[in-house]
Amino acid sequence: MNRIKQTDDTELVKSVQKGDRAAFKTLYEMYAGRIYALTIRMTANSSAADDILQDIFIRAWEKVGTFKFKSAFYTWLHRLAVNVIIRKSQKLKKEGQRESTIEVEDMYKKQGLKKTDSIENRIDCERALLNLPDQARKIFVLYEMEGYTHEQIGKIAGISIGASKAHLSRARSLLKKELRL
Amino acid sequence: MSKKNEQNHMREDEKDEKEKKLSSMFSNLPSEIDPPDFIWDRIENSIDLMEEADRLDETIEEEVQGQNEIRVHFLTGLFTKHPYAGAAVAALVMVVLTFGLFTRFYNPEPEMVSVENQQYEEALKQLEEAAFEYNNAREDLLVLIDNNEALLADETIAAIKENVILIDSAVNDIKTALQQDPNNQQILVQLATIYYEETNMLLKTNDLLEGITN
Repeated sequence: MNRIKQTDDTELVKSVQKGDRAAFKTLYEMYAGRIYALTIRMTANSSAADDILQDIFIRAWEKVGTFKFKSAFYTWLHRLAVNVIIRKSQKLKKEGQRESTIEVEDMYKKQGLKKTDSIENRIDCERALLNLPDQARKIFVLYEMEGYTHEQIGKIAGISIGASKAHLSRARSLLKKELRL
Repeated sequence: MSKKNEQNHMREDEKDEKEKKLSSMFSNLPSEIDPPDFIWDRIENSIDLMEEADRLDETIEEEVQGQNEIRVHFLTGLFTKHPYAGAAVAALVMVVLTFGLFTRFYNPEPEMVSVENQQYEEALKQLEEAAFEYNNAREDLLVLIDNNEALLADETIAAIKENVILIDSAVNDIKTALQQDPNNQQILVQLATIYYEETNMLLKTNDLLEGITN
């Protein structure tokens, strides 16, 4: 993936707003990895994560005209992604779709990460995270890894602040048990 | 410090340490995971299809517009190919309609609403204030939705817009009742109350959406 500084994205976004597909591909290359990591961790479902990532970027292409540069483009894209992930996950749950397993070790190998003690620990963390109950996992990812507040999570996920805190506490407790802390 | 208190403190410290370790473990996870290559191809294909559909829509729209232009020229007697004729007629119609609506609502005809007493005047004043607040809240909400369309679920946008239409329709029903019985102070108060209640609802929705979109 190309690593381009975030400050460069303003011109790219302006080009995308004019319909420049190449600029959109560059933005995809800049941010797809971060959005995919978020999607994989929130859905714990590899095939759903592929579909959802596709939906996120199609929606971004459709709606980029409404982006007013009041925040960083990545912040806007991230919010859009969380919104799509939550909606699609609820839909999948309603449809009763079973979760497809994620082979964390294979996923890490594909990233070119060599097997070391530190990688082993990370794989254990990813596995523990993917094994969490659905809502607890989503809230842990948003709060602990993405820096959302309980108030923001409550509004996005349509739950109370108390419920968000309870899910987080449950997630932490289960993770500590699983990781033997 | 008692032995029990000391033990409690130790447990709290231990708990904090565990929480910190857990946070640190997860902060070390890679922030990026490369998606499969085929996803970009699928995105491009979808965009191609969307653009194809847009082109088709534009073609149909142009054809329909062409037919409408002929109709407008016929109706106004402007048998000309001037490109602004249709737009000018449409603008004129809009001005007449808007003016009609505003004058009907903000300047009720004197013979329709006779000010009988101070109480009635007060109620009318309240109604105007309520209508002003309501229109502001309604406009703010619709602007907020338009500006943050991408961040809101289609269902949310549809539900809010549907509710705004329902509220507008309820307001219009009462306005019609008021026109038929302009001196009815009860209807006047009822309309003001509805305006205030709906304004509160709109402001609450506005706050909720701002929380999501900020």
